[in-house]
Amino acid sequence: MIGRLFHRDHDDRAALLAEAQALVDDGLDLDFVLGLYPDDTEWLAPLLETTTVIGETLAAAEPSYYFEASLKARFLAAAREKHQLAPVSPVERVRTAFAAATVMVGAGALGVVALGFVTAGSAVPGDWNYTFKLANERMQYSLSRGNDRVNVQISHTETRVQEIAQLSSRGDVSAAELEKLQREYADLKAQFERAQQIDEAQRARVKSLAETSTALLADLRSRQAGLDTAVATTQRTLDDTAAAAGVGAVTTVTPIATAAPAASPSPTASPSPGPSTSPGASGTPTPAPTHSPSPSPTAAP
Amino acid sequence: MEAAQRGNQAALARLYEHYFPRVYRYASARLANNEDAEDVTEEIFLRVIDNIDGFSFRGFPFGAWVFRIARNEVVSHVRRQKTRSTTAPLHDSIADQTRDHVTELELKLDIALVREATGRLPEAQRQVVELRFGAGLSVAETAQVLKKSENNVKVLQHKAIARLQSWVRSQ
Repeated sequence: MIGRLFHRDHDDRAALLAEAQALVDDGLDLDFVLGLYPDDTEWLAPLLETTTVIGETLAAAEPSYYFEASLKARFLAAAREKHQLAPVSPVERVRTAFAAATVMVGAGALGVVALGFVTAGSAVPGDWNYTFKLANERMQYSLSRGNDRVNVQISHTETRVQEIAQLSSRGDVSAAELEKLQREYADLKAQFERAQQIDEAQRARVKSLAETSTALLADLRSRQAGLDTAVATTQRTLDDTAAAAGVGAVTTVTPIATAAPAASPSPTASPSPGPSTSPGASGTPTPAPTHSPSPSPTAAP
Repeated sequence: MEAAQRGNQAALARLYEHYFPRVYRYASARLANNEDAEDVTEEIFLRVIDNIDGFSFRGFPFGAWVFRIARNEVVSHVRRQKTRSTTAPLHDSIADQTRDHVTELELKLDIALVREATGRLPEAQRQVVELRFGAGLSVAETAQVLKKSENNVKVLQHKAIARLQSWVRSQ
């Protein structure tokens, strides 16, 4: 019983000393702290004085400046070395590899796109970069306005004709290509109708284009007989466009299969004398014996 | 702290400047001479750098973590010293030029006496005194370093100071 009481007293004193010491540690004056414990000053004062002496003595142990500075340098150098040599975790390695692969794929894709656009000028349908050519044309068209858009549309139609000419030399023209050409002519016609007035240069370009197209279609008909219907439809669209442009008569190719041997097809055809030629009088560049004036071609195959 | 863990030199420098004096005082309170204190302080800080990545807060303050390393290093150094039973080392450290030589001598004498007095305490009480008054840790921090309850630390502190009191009086 007495022992327990003694222990409790001992624990209480330990707690009280710790409390008072914490106040001294916080910077409060020793006398002030003792003043907070008037009933315990007798036993507390010598203990706090002891801790003060010990604390001050130990705190006075100062290292040399040189040691402190050199250890700091070694401490920081060790940290640098550690972070430079830090092993890369597998997750980090995978992440790095993925990032590198992404960058490479991105750069590769960018390169392919750039190459596609650069080399697309001479592409024909079926080439890997033909899509880029069409995209480029679409962009050109979107950026153009007013009369300039007519010129762009004429250029696109010329391009389609050139592509078909290239494919034709390989006997590789499909109905789909002719449909594209029809669409270009239809769009061109719509442009003319919208613009209401076109200049002479445009008219001359359209005339030249129409004649080249006509000759090309005649040649095509002789090379690929299966395209007769598509050729006739294209010719009609072409004639309509030429009429809308006020070009006048353009020699057309009828889809009749009588075109026969086609020994010397179109390219040698001489252009018609001028835009003012009446629909009836035709300068005929084609080998076909049946030259019908443009506005109402007989489409029957 | 996180910046220091990432290797940020400025953060590490601040950390060093904050803990160096206390760690050195703690080592100095326990070890026989300044050279040993310097050696152990160096080992402590290099150990801190080696293990700083593994430190996580989770209710355990960084200071307590540092002093747990310090305590382990000091204890193992003392054990090594005991097995070697070396002779008294020479004091060849460079003295602070700004301090008066007479004061230096008295200070060294005082520190030596305090070391001697604390050396007579039981190990647990001695560690509490060194951490509380050498390193300047609070009771709570001391308890965390020593893995004891705060109450236990308070009791050990009280007992240790009661013993040291008679010695201080006699001086």
